Amino acid sequence: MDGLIVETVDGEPLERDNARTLSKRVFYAGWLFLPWLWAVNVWMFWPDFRHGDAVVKAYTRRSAACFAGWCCLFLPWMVLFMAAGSSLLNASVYQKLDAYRLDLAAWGIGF
Amino acid sequence: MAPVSICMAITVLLVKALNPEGTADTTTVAIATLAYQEQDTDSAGQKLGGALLNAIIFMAVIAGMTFVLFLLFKWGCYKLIYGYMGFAMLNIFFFFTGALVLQLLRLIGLHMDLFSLAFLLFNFSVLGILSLFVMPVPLLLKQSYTVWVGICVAYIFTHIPEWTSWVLLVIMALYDLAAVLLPGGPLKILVELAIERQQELPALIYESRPTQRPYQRGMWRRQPPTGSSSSNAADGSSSAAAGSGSGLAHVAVAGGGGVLAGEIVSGSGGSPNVFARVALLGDQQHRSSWDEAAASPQPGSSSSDGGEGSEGELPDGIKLGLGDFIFYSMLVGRAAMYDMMTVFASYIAVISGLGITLMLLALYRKALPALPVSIALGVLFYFLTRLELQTGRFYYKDGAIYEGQYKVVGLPPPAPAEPAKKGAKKKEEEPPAQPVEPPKPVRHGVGTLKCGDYTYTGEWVDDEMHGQGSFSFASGACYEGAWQHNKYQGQGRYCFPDGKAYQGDWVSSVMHGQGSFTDTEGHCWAGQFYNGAGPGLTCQL
Repeated sequence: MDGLIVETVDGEPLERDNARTLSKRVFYAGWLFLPWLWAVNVWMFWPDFRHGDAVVKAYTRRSAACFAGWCCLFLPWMVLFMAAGSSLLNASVYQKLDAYRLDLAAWGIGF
Repeated sequence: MAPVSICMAITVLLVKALNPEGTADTTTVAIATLAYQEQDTDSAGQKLGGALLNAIIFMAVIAGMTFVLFLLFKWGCYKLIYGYMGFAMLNIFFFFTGALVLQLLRLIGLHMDLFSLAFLLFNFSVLGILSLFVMPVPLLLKQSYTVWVGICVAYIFTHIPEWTSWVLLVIMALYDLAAVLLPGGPLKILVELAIERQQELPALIYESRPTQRPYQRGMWRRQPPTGSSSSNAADGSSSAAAGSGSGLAHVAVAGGGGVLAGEIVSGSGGSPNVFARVALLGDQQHRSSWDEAAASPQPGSSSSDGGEGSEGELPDGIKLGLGDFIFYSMLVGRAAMYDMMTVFASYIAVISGLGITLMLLALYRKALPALPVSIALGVLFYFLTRLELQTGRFYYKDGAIYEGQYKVVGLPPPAPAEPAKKGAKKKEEEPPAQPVEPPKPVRHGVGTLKCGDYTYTGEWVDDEMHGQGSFSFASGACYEGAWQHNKYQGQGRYCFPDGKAYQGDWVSSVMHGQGSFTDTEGHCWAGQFYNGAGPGLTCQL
């Protein structure tokens, strides 16, 4: 019985096959521009991420790698834009990209 | 206790940051203001009547939605229910969160690019939907999303006009009481149906399970008995193994170009699953309505039907309907628009109300509505604190006498700058200089200031004439209308001692905007005023 159960980070038991499918699916779903899913995958199966079921471990490790890679690409861009976007970019491009200018009221969702 | 507190704290912060004046945006919450639009100038009786009407309509909508939910549930239209909920949640997570984040970004002056913002929001909302409805995620994540939904909806509800919100809170507490306890109450029959079918109620509830105690491998019980029930119980409703009864809350929130109506049900027989359901009603406007019935504490009594592991001695999973979060936070958020003192008072009242409800729960061992006690205490303490903060009589050194409401602040407020009237063609007396303040109390609320040759009666905010008020001078001149920061601002009427009068818009104590001027002979000149002058006015015969 012991081998058939994968424990989540909450201590919730999942059947091993279900857990494997889940971590695999979440990993692939992450490619649909959903990097946060990778992070959740690692979080969810944290005990197995460290040592545990081989399949779950494989997928969570991959998720972790992908998430780290995404962070490396994304965070610098975000920080760069916030910090130095106005000086680095062409003014018109900058203004188009700047969420600051978004007119919420025009869409009827301003508060 | 903690999640409720967090929810309230964040709502208060949001209110303080984004809407400190309590501006009522009637388009945001159209359902709550269908019958009556609150005007500052209306009398208290009018406001109360209108607010009652609004609240009753609102409650009727909610009761109707509960009924629709019941029918859908009865006929087994689960796909419809979940589709509706999913859409509504998507709106909350994507559009509301987006709008909030944008406003916060603007507040701190941070420029973020559209691409990143959209990308992050997309991730946030998809993950939210998945974790609430689709896949198992870490409990903490699910709880955070649940609390976030509560915060969003509560924040939206703080846009309901003041009187309407208070009446609404009271009415909802009463509705909660009736819906959960009366035989045939909408929530009660819903819950009974769910128990009969051994199904989960489609609901959005906060659950807390002991997460720090790992299961022993091989243990299959879904709900481990908890030794820490007393601390967990503070989180709200507890559902025991055989959980009977539940509370239900509907939330309808409008996203851009649509209305989402969600129904949030708390409690379901002993299972940790959470459902949320939200409905989309097509509408151009933004509106939100909710229907909260109870996050009802529900310990299953040990004698009731045994589900899995029905020991029934201790409630072991804790569930609190999101509706509770929403209404508690709405109450506290409302209080934040007045003063921080009222926030603390109502916060403590709400929390102790929860405690009382839990004690009652232990006594009666059945589903109880969590709203009434907390809301009653919260509202009571809010108004008591307000009263406490108010009415006094002050004598100023220059002979001025102020009589009315006030509040005490820790630091003396900076002396308000004297409004200087520049370029006013028709000369009025200057609003008088502010008397020297005693260090602590500031005029706040409604009060009258008499100082030698002038009198002001009306609303004060933080020691400034702000709101509706009338000011009369010894010369016979008087101003009646809207004030902001000691200046005439908005609609107002100014009578000159010689019988001339101006009625119309004011900006910074200067006639500016649409207005009409009546001269000594009774001719009325209307048109556009600019900076105190009225070029090109036309005489209205």
